[in-house]
Amino acid sequence: MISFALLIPFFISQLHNEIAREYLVAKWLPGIVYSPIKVLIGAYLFKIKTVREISVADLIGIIPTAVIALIAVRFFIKRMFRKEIGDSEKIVVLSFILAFCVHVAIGWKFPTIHPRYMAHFLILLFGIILINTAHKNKLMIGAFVIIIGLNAVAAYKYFDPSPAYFEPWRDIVAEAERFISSTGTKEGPILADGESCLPISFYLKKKTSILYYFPNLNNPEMQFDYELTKIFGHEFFSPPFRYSDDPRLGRTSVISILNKYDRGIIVTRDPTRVGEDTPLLERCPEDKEISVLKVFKTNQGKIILYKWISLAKINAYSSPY
Amino acid sequence: MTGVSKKKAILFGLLFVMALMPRLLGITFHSLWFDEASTANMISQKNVESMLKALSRVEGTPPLFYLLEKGFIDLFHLPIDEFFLRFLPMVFGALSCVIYFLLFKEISSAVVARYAFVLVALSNFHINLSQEARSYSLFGLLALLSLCVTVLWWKRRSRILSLAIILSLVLTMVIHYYGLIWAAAVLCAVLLIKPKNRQMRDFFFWPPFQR
Repeated sequence: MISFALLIPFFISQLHNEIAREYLVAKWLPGIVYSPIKVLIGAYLFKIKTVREISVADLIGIIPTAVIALIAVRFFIKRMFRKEIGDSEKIVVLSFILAFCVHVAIGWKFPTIHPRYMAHFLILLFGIILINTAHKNKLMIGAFVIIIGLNAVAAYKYFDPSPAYFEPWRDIVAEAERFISSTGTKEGPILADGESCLPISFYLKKKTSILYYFPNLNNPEMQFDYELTKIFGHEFFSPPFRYSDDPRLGRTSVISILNKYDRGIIVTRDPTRVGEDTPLLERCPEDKEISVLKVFKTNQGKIILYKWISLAKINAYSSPY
Repeated sequence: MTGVSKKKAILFGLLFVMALMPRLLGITFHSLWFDEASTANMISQKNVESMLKALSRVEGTPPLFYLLEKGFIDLFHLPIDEFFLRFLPMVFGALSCVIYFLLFKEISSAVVARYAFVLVALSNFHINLSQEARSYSLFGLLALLSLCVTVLWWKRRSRILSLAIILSLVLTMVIHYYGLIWAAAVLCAVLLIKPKNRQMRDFFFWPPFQR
């Protein structure tokens, strides 16, 4: 009890921060991020929006989980009626169920654990019930071995049924820096939108690139406070954009950066906006040329690398790009 | 060390190594993603004070995981790269497989525990969580540990186990806010099992000083 009491002030101050941020962000959010329905149907867990998007890797992840869940619950109910479940097993199963129920009930508004970690907890729960029930049945053991095998294949063949945001930032930065150095200079600006700037800044070689961050208008939830410090020692230019009523106020224009430098890279998920209301390609300065350098496909869609270069520079250098 | 405890230590060591292997493979295969880069950003702060300040403003999560990561990186003067950022979560993930084995051994049998170990050691979800420079594998480890000591306490009560329950639940709360919900769930589960009055009083009222 004393230990709990000692922690209370810390939790109150932290929760206050969280709630304050949640409500400020909520001004712009059209929907609820942590929707209990999304959690329950599993779409959020596997990042699947339509049936056509389901891949083999997704199926390998989903089907065994569903099979485990169905068999487990059926056997558990059977055993419950036969009064075969011990107290310690009840404690384990109940703890998992209660924790999950609270997550579903309050997770949509208050910060709980991310749904995909909850999926992991659920799989553990179903595993507990299944193994404890079916380990004496040879047929069940066979099914269990197949499920384990499929999961292992999913883990190493496809590596993962897309629960996380695996994106090739290492390769993206390497490609961007290759382009900048190919234009005969060591330094060059990289414009990254929304949440991209943090992983990009991690992989940037020190002092070879200047990073500009511009807000992703489509996803205002992803605005973070980077005023604290330079990220990983890089110069970091962020427009004064934080929880303002009008997200367009006070932003550094992408076009002004395009005018300032004769070459550079834009990293974006949304080619139609790039932080502006008008598509970038339509607003390109006359003395510059913008084109796609490379498109990276990820499990969250695609990330496009645009390069821009002044027409004068194109004539001066014979770049491999 | 007695013969039995030596055997146990060897068994747990073996299980740990077996769980570690799939987690070690491809640990640097993926680039850091946004959340992991955020962890790296926190750890790269020049001292603990500025890290805690940054945590409060940017992450808004309890600090234990970040303190451990920063301590690990600073103590051994390690570079902040994918491998070392993901090293501790990998170890926590492998340890949680061993705890999973112990938990099943307690609630069922050694045979069932072996199956359970295989399930969790090769679970793609669990492998991914263990290869992420985030606090979740440590949270999972502590959640399982708290469950394991609760089950052990249920079977054979002792002050050490009572303290272990408190400590593991408190640590879970200093990893993530969800620890509060987890602690409440474990306590409610014990309550719902409806033990004898004496047992209930022992669990809910300062366990270390109860018989």
